[in-house]
Amino acid sequence: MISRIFTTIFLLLIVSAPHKLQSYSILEQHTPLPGRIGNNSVYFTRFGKTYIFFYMTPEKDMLARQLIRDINEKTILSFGNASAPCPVIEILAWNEKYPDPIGEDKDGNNIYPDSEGHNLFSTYRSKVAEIVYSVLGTKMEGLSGHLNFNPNYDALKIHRDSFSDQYQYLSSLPPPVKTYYLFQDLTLMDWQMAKGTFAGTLVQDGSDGDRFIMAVFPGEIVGTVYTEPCVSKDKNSVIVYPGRISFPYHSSVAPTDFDGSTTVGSWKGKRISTSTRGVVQEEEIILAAKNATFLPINRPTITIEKDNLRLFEYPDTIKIQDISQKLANENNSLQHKLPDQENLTILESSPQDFSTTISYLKKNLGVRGSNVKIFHLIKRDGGFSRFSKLDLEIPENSTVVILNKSKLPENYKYYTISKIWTDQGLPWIQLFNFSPHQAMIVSGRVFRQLSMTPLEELFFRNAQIDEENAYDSVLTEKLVCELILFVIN
Amino acid sequence: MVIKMKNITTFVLFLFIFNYALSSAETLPVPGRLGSSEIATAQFGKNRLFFYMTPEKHEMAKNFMIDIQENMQHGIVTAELDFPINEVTPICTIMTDPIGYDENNQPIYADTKGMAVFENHAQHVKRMIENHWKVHFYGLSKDLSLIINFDANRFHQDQFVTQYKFLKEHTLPIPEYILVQDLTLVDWEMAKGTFTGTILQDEETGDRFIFPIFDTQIACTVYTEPAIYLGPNIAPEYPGANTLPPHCPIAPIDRLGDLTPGSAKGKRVSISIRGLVTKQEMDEFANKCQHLDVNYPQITFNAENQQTRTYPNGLLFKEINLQPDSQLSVVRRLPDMQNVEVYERLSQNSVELIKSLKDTFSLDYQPGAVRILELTKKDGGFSNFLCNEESLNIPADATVVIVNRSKIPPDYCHFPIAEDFTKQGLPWIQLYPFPLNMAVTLTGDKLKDLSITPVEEIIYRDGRKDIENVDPNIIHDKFAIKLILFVFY
Repeated sequence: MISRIFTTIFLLLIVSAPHKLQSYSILEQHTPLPGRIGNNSVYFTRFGKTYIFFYMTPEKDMLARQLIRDINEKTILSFGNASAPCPVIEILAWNEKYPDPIGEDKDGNNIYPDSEGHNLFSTYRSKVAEIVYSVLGTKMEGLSGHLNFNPNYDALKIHRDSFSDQYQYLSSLPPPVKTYYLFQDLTLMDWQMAKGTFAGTLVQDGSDGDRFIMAVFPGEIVGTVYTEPCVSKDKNSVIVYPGRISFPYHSSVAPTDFDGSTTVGSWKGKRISTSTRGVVQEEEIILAAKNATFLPINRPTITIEKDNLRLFEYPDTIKIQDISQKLANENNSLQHKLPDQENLTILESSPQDFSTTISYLKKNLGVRGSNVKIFHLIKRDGGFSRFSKLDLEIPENSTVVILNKSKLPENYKYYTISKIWTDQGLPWIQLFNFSPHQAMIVSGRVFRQLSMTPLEELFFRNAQIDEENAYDSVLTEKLVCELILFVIN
Repeated sequence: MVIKMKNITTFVLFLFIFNYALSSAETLPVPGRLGSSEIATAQFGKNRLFFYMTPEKHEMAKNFMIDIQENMQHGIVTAELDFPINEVTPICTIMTDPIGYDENNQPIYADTKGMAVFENHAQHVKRMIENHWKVHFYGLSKDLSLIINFDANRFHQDQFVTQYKFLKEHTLPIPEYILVQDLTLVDWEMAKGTFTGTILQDEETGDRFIFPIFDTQIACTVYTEPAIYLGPNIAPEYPGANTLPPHCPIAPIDRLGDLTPGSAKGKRVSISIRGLVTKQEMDEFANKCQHLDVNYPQITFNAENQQTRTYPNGLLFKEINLQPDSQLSVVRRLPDMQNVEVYERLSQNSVELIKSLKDTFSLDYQPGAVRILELTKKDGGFSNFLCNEESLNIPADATVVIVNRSKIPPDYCHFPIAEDFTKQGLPWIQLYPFPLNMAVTLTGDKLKDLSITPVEEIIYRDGRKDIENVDPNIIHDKFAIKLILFVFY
């Protein structure tokens, strides 16, 4: 317990005092990330009313790896339509496609179209529930489960979840019904992911906040639990299924290049996730959180400044400021084209060509310094292009103002800049919601911790629009991410 | 203002749709698709290919797709080890070999219903070929590939085990037989604006040809090749996986340079029905087909053993000694062309190179009457060369020399320029081999027929190396296609 408290304090220090970050990463560099084998602690974080736990035990890791072997060797597969909002054809296990019994044997036991598959997955679900109980102390009721194959991005859109089985279970309980939490054990599994890729779950913070990818890397099994209160009691305290509104907006991420400068090629591999669902009584969740280590989110405080312009201040010192006018308009001046780095096109402009913009930045963003260098970074492909790998001679004590000149289709969201927190022992990658009407202000030192986000269209999709619209294959203009850096000291 | 914005949005949407309609329109019926009634044939090295489609075959393929999804069981298998591909586990139909025999010595299959469906389809295809082509089809075998992503896709040659077994057991004397593969590619919820197909490497000239299908299409190509005989009246021995030129399936990818359907690209299916037809019958049939000319180069060498490739369509490639570029260049950025970055370089910095190109291609031009454009492509889709005033602004009568400065790993092959012959009614897209030590000259008018090849790693793999090496999962530097255009007026 003492060590957990110490870790919590330490992690809080990380986000409030970023100068500690480097020493933290050195200390923790040999510790597996939360949710992986070798890290036996239980961690949690909060997204609004949703708790996300990270845990892994040797038993769970073995169980997942055995499941993959069973899928490869024994499971009968078919195809069926994915559920809303993207009902395209996806791979389904035969026993999930035909879940109902087709009869009974002489002893009165159900016979299923795929009895072996049925037994395999129901045993897996029961074992997951047992492990969850032993680790978190949470007793799952109203159990159901799904097996998700992600060999590509088909059927992947940003959505919220439906817990119809669990709400049906709750509505069948005799009143008074206690306060329950919806509970999902989501285990992400490498399924021959290619080297240098990542996959995971993309989670959006609130209706329009930053996005976080709960990542899985090749070779890994990652255990997460999502849990939040059941919402739907009517005035008579009767449980009513509320529809597809559970958990924050999220989406699966299929294997994608992780690195900006290298690629494994066309072959990326596949991943599987299992979701084992149920309901758990509230007090057990509260107790589980109390016994776990809290992982703080680098979440901004927002203040409204003059002219209703917002200022987002992050614990790691990043600032994002609304700007009142269009800056750094296109110009036709000559530029120096530097060799590509991190597969980014890099251009250097003369400060004279951006004198109006520089004046605005100094006047309105309080940036000081007379020495200005201007770089344009253009990204058109996948992988995180890390700023720490760019040789642009940006001093640590300089101020870097970043303007977002990306071109995305209408209604897409600008998550152009990311921070790979997995480098620092946290199990996620943060994508900042940073629009072209804003400026990001960072020190040269913090700049080196950031990356340009992979140009994977899914990452930039609009969650509300995805949720409201049934899938249709629509052509849009290609996405281009472009940043202009003003390095001032 | 609101109305105006709405009008602008509608106009932009119209432009998108118009652009897509233009780019997807095949001005002539393409052999092998519905609507093209003639059976066409073309010679690729020792392989004769036939392209045919009938309403009946089209309907059969669509019905078979329903069977694949509803009436066949599938599973995971490890890709065939004889193939030089990774030991991955593609989604694949459960092996078609019997798992046992009943008391009447009839085979028992793991999926009896699925096997019957597949066998029925194969017999139907066989009958169709025999009836329409007036040939006899022996040694029938069948194979099904569900192309969901790029897993297990590598260049390879095929095995015709069943057919060689038939020949081995044939009563002497054995007539000359041709190996025949009816390969039907079927759209399986391919996203709008994507293509998929088979990429084939011509081992004699090095050119590559993609036999594509676009979204919504079903296409049939029949590949034929003489069986290998060791001598007169000697039964052929199974020669291993060395039939047909090195080739590879392509999973659905973006077709258009400027537009994308996003991360979800969809899937496709290949149905391969194989057998043997006597050479005499095959020749008689070929004589009745429409013959298609392939744009093959005439290859010559000068006294210094430098290669020249002269294509019938006017492209002239020559080996040339080129100086490396300077690391830093002064450029003026022009608007993107189909998501390709376009920069104009100062010609006074490339005097030596211009002189070298002038001498190599015997160009007659006035000093100063040359523009230098640098084009960089890093993502998918075919980016057409737009020569109009709003883009590259290259007159139809200008002479253009292109130098390849692409950055791809050393063991890959350079195919930066493509020509989509489907626009001219031919069922293929040609990729020109264009190594770094060559330059190509053509007119501004011809340039409009060409495009920059999608940056999809598999397209650039060395087919022969793929076949010789079981390729481990290797990480490479990212690809960037860079072309320098010298426009002489």
